[in-house]
Amino acid sequence: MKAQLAIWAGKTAGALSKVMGNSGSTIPGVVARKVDIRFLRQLRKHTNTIIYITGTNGKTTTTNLIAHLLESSGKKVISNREGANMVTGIAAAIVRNAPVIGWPKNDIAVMEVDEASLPKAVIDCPPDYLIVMNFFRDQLDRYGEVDLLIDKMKDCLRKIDVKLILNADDPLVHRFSELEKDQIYVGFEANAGRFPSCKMSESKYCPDCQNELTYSDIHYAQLGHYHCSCGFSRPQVTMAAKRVSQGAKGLKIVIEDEEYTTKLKGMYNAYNALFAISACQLLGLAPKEIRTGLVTSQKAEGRMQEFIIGRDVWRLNLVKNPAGANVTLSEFFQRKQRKQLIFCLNDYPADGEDISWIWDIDMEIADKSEVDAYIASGTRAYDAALRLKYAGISEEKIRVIPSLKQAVLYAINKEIPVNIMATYTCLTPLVRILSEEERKRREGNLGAATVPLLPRHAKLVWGQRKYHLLNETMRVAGNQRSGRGNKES
Amino acid sequence: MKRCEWRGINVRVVEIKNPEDADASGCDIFMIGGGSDREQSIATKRLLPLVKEIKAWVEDGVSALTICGGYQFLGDYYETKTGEKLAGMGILPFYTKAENNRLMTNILVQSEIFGRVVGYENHGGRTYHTFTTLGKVVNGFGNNEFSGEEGLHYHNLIGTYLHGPILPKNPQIADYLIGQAYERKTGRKLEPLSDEMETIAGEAVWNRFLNSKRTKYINER
Repeated sequence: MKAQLAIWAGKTAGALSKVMGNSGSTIPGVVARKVDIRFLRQLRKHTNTIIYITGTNGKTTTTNLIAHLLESSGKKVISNREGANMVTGIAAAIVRNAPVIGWPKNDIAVMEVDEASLPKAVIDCPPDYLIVMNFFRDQLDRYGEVDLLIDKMKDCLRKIDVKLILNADDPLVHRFSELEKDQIYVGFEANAGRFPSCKMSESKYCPDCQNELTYSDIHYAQLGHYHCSCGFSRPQVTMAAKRVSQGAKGLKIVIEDEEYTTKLKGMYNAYNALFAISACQLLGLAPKEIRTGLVTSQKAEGRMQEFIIGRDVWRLNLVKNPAGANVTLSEFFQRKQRKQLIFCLNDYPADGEDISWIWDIDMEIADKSEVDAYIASGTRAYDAALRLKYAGISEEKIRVIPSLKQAVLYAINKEIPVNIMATYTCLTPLVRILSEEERKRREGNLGAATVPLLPRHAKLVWGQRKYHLLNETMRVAGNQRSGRGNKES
Repeated sequence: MKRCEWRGINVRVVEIKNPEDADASGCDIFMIGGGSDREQSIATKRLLPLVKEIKAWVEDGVSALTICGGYQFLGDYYETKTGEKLAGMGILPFYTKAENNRLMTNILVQSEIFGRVVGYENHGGRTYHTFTTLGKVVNGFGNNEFSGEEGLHYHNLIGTYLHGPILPKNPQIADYLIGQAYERKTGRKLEPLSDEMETIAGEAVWNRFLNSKRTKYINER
């Protein structure tokens, strides 16, 4: 009964928040957990198989792909596809999935779970499978330290019966191997493909003996074939990806002896494709079913999303940590055409309040003559601009335009393709602004955008009122995402 | 580094992973960063043979910047949450004690020498010492929640919890470290640079967080 009340309350709150113009991705969950703190248990009751996906980068893309492949094979799936991945987000997905009365069983739940929220989620609702993708330095302000985080995650798994699907190429993920659980390892064979070259930023010391690890093959960051003199080394792989390459449609990947063509673009998606396909094989899908599903798959919002603005293709990609930003930049600079780069940096809880991570980006990759202008935008536009300056980029080329809309309009006027890297809370407003501009131009309301040209260091007014209001709503949503303002037992 | 390059000053950076990596002739500026507790204790163990030399550098007025873990391990010891005392380098007599709640927020410091200083702090350790500090905390926590002071300033050594990172947004501190080293080496004063963008960025952060009196921000547990 309590659960039923929680669902009604959650649904009502969700509807109200939608009326007020919020995206409402977590509010139903926040309310449902207020009514029934153990609401996540409902998932176990009404689902046959539960799979959690966790790790620093690639959760949302992998979750979406797995959910889609399972659905296209005829299974009934429940999933938190928008990337709301704390307990409230997972609860919200359950509320949305529940009918007003009664509750048919789902075949499978595919949930992405934030690393720091995993212990809480596991207590209320233990999964049957857990995918651990990778660990990179992320928003340290929410996680403290990577080592602590990994220990906490491991501890919460000790008591439950779970099958682990682990990244063989990540020494940090390898620490999960000491858990006595069924383990499936996936990874890329040596020279499987040309990965973007990035510096190593994460801890590359052996967790057993503290000496430096040796790599015979590096894919990117700390991912690759590693070993240590003490015997700690890359584990035996259960499902090996033998080849990965970028085709016209998307990534082609050979896993064991099967070739798959995905719609995912960019090499940084290689692991996401590998995890999604391997997981689906484990869950009993035949290669043929997977191939059929891949044809109709959609990308998640703001993941290398393309917009046609006039005659130019614009690309938008989410960045939230140095490793992800590095591969994004490598991807942006694959082609040598003239371009502009916009760096949108917000610092709401959902973005991570600590923006220090931008200094660990190899921003020097972006210092190229083919870039006409670098535009820094968002609540921390000046910090973004400073990072560009210290990468050696000439100040003449850097513009600071805190308002996202003004930044986009400024770039449109130049009529040169634009690549945008943006943090989490910038995505929704950016997608809205860009879709609108795309539509305007398609329908022929052309003419260059009229935009008051800002002086180079326009005085900082934190956004025009509208922008400010929009960000306020984002911030409220962000607070809920990060679990602040709702005390949990 | 960049600020030396912009002034045409040649800089050689030596990464010290083992004691033998350090030049016998010493250095003009040294910096010790932070890391996770595990990495920190590895680094401290490796630096132990160098402690005598580092002490001499500090007393000699070599410019130094130590941040977060690097700052904590300058002291005698670091007491973990379980009460275990990890030996520090013992460069200066002070100690740090870890508590459960991490102190994390955008921090603003008013400094007598450097004026407004901005950065981000994220640390579980509370540091207690009697040396001169970097400045008074205007918003945030600093060395610990009680003293209202942030960092440590001794000769030309600065210890601080500010990352975010400290140097680009606080060019006055970067130039102090470079300037002291430059003067020791050449006897000449440093040429100023145009810091328009740095100053505006610093001010933007200051104004954004001046009234954001943050309460304690605790990890999701």
